[in-house]
Amino acid sequence: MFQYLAYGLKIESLIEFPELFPIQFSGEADVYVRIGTSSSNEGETVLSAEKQFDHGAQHYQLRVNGVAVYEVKAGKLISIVMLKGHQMGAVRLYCLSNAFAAVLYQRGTIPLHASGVIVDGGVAMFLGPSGAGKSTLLLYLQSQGVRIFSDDVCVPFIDEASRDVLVRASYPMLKCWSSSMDLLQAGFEKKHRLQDGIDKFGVFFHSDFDIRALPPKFLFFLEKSDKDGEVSIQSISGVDVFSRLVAEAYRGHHFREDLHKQILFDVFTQLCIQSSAFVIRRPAGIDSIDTIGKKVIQQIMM
Amino acid sequence: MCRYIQSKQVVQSKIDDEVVMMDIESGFYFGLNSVASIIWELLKDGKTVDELAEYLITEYDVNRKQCLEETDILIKKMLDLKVIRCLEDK
Repeated sequence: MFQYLAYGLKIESLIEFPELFPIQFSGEADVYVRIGTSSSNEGETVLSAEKQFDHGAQHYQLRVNGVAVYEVKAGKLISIVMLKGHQMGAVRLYCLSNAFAAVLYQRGTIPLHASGVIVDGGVAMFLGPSGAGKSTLLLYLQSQGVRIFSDDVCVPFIDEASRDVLVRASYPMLKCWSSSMDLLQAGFEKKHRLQDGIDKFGVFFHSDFDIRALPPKFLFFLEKSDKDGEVSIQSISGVDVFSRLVAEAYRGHHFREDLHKQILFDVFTQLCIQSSAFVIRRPAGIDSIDTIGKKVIQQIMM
Repeated sequence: MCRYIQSKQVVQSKIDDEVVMMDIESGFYFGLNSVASIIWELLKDGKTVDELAEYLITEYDVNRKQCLEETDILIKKMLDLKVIRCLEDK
């Protein structure tokens, strides 16, 4: 039995997750990760190689061919049936992304597709879809001495005592393309390949992981432009920020039934109020990480 | 003349000098700029287009005709979005 902290939740798992932050606790876990059998797992019977995804309120099923079938119930239980030919790295990867996203939505939280660094006791978040450059920017900032908070997903929530929004990290691993690691030439070890056949690696930061919920300070929305030109950074405000946050709800289109609109409204409007927001536009296809990184550092250190 | 009032179906929050509103049932949301936000605030108590325009004329450098026209357009948009409704004349 393994115990971890992930997304601010206490996890008890029958599968070992080197990516997660190990803790020890007694009593109830928030989430249990179990290994199911095809007869015990409803997902295996509902889903097939053709129908790979199904879900309703408080119930989510995902089949990844050659990897596993995942079933998530009531924000509390992840059941995994491994499929023939699976590799454990891939099994864990889909669990940590899609299955845990289901857990978070079912528990009434709304994860953001955002990476983050720690700035003066708060969090600067970088938001954008896959390929926007979130992880590469994080690697760059880490190489400049900035402390990483979370990669790919951050979980904002309203603190009951203060009524302010705080943000929780996912777990202490960056997922980065091999080419991005080469680009930065910072000597990152390519030890943990995320999935066979994909040139993407995990970079662990367990020893520097901050498990506290921290207040948001900055929101940087990362955009690629098809036009030539220079990297630009522009301050934004008001409803524009809110709209952009809604667009960055992690896997939001999968979880409409579990999306608590009142919570979304309360958390995202408060995030807008508490944070300074910017859009960073960069020309696609040009290496601009150094310019972007410097602009971000300049902004967060002001 | 119709007196308009905020519908209770939406939640709202002020962000900077704008107001964002969301229909919690549908998830549809939209924003109002600073002047529209003032009109929205005034619609808490029920106002006619004339009363709204009268207030704006005293606050902003705008002529009556233009103000009435633009207020009317905004009211129609809000009615379409069902965030306000018409009260019966009293």
